[in-house]
Amino acid sequence: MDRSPATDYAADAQAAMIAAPTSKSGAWLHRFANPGRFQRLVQPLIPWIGWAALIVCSVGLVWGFAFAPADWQQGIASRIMYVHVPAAWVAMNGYAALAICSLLSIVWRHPLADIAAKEMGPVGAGFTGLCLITGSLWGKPEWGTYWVWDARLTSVLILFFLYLGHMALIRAFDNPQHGYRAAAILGLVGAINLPIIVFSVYWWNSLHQGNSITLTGPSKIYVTMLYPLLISTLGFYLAFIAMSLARISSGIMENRARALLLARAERSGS
Amino acid sequence: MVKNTLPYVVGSYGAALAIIGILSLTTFFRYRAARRRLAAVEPRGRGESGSAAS
Repeated sequence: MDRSPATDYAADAQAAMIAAPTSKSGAWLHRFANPGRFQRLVQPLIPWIGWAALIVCSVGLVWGFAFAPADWQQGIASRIMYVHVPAAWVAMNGYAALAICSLLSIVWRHPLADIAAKEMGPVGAGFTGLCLITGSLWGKPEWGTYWVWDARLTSVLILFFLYLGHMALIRAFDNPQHGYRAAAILGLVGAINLPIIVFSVYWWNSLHQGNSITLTGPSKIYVTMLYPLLISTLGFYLAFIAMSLARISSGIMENRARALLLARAERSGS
Repeated sequence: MVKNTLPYVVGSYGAALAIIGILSLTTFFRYRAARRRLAAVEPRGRGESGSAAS
């Protein structure tokens, strides 16, 4: 059957609205990740998460910049930590979320997972860029240079390029579904870079310091520095979540508006 | 070694404000535009969330 480009696009957009379960194991995912249910659940939350992000980020950054003590070795340059470390964590965990969406897209072909991965990409790239910029600004006074081809720095730069590649690949095809499929494969394969980033400081001789905070052991940072760092981190995570949810919601609304307009144009044309 | 590190600290916080601020503003304006556009084309009684699939 011949299909016009408008019909193709309407079908794609319609597919993004309808999620039919493809397997028993994936049925619960489709139930909770249905775009309509997602919108009803998320839209009232977005302003609350956004305001919480603004308040928590402000408290964390002002505390870190003005009130946290300077490090005895690094002096006030250590205050860059309250921006750099949260940005790095959000950049890595944002890519982990993107990789999970890519997996859901490949296994269950869920349209909401495609939209989520697409919309998280630019936000994650922004935080990765912030991590690289603040890392360079920290490196100059501490190492005497803005950049070295160190394992940690290079692997984070690769993470930044993976984000950019994902964004470019989604938009590289005339058929959006082809772009989503190719980007999902890149998103999943690129996840191999995450453990490389984490363990790079142990696997190779690195200028970058080791991890000061771990999930399993005690923190090496004193509480007067740890509290503003954790608050700043919470604020950055909330900002990432708020922006990602708002962008996903926008993407769903744009798809639906486009599908409605195309359907209307086809009805009036026939 | 650099002695005055304050410009680097200020630059880092400035970059944070700039990047997060630009991302937030573009997200906000896009979200608002998408809501308005959908509200303009959505048939009456369907709400503006893009929830229905039929």
